[in-house]
Amino acid sequence: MFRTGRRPVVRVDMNDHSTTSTTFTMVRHLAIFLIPFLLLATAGCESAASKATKAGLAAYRFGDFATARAKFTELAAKTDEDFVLNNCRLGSTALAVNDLDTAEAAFLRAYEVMNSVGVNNGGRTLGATLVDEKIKIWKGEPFERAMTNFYLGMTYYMRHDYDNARAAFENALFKLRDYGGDAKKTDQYREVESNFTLGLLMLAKCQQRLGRDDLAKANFQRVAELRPQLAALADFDWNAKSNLLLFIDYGYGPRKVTNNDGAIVGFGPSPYQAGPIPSPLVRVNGTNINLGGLPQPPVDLLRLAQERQWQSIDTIRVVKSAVGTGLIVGGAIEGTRKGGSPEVGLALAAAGLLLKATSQADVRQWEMLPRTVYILPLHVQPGTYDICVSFPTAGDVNQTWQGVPVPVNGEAAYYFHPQPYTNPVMVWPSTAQPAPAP
Amino acid sequence: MSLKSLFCILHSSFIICLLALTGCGDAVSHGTNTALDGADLNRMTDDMAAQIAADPDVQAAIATTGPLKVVVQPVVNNMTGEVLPRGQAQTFTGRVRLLLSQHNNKNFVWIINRDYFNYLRGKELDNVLGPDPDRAQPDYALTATFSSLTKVSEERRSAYYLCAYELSNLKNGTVLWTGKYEVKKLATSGFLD
Repeated sequence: MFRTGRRPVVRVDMNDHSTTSTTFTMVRHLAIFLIPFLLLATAGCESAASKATKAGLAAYRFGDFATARAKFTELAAKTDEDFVLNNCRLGSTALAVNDLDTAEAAFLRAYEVMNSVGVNNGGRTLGATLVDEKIKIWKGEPFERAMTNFYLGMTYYMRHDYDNARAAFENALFKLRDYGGDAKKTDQYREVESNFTLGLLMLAKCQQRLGRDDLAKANFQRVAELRPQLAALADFDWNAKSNLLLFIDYGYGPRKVTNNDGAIVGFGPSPYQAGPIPSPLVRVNGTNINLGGLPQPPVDLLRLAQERQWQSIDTIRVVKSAVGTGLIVGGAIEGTRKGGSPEVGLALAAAGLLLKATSQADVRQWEMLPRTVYILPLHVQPGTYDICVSFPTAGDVNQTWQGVPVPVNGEAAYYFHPQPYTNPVMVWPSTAQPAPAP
Repeated sequence: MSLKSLFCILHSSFIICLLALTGCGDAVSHGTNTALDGADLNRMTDDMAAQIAADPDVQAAIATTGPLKVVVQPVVNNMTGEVLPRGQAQTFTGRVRLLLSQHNNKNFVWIINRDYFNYLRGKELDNVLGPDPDRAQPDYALTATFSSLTKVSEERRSAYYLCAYELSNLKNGTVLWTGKYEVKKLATSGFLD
């Protein structure tokens, strides 16, 4: 009875040629519209900005910082969805040549948008969810946000602006706590904090320079508690007498990877795949410096990236991909089963393909991040030196700054970014100091 | 035109149409945060300038010694997790000076900050051998210290600000006037934040 009762309805629809024709036409038009879009989502198209980015990154990798800075200065001025990312890239490039004005301004712009909420309001949220995740304003993964704050703080520290450096390092710690999970689970907080001892260590150093010895001692002690191997680096008295501080980048940070479906993002390589982090060798005027227990990496970004807590858009993407697969399968079944509707099957498959096409991962990332940043507080006789930093066990990657001044009082801080393919010898000073406040 | 270019145009058109329909903004057009902003600057400095001008102790000092010689310092940043760049740090005290000099010009003499004075002399004058002994000496310093309690969670970021201004006597260390501005700010995370 049930079958008999349903048949007339089906028969009427199938025999109504005008309705069927209209439906087919609509589906065909939909398919014609969607197929290029779907193909494009797979194939991608390269814009002028994308080409400029690649050129800038290649220049950076090969030590042509002037070209890289010019490329990223242009890109960072555009307030598009890559505004934050391009300012981070510009900041890294400027730091490599000690252009602290540009680095500060670039990281500050990135910091301001990262600290803002609702930047994707006004259509980008809908667009990122329905069409392409790359439409959303890039604000970075948690470790990228923390590193933006770290480099901003480092820039201020190098300028002896310890108030703002302290604030930036505090913000770096906020960012990781932000993604550390449930606030009530104190163990999780501890775990996340221990992975970013880089920020905590620099926070302690700022407090020491600001004369807040009580806070500095507490934070140095916290660093040593969390990572006992950093005890020498977190020694209050050693840091107090330091008059030369070296920030040394090493290696490459995590890379986003997708699966065959292009949907699920992970980070690679793992610390195990990348191997141990080598120790730096520091030569001052050609003489090796005994670093003792100082050269311990305060952070391993490869490890940090593996512990990332996934956020909402990733969940949406995975769900969209799974639902898309379901719709395609459902459409195939509907279209091939006996008595099924080919139009419905086609529509389901098209919707499934659309969902899967728009669930492609956003693989934008800050490519210039290192694997770690060494912090080396040293004490040398005041004067002017040639300082060479190298990693002999990593293909003799090295960088030299010539004519670096070391003061009698206070602590001069310098940034080194040695990398393969280029061993630049750079002459100090590269930029003038800013004018005092009027 | 190649097929790939055609696809590129179609894709871009689709996205542009969607964004046009939904009213897309750029990276700096929609966001809000908990930082002190232009409205705070105006409210705060208007209030501080009015308080200084109307303060009985300040008026008494002017009546006794004549126009006050004041040097202005940038804001000291004691805020938690809030960067205050150099330009902004100068603006928050510089605007108070501007307002006072506009409305009470006869009551104050503004002295250039010593470091900046020496920098200017070194840049603009020939044969500068050192600090100028004839530089006008300030009697008072207008200073400001900003502090904040900032809390960040996955859902929101909140910051309570206390911005304290002082007009201090550089000769005897007394505080002639003090004023404060307090504000609490909250930013709640959205879907993609």
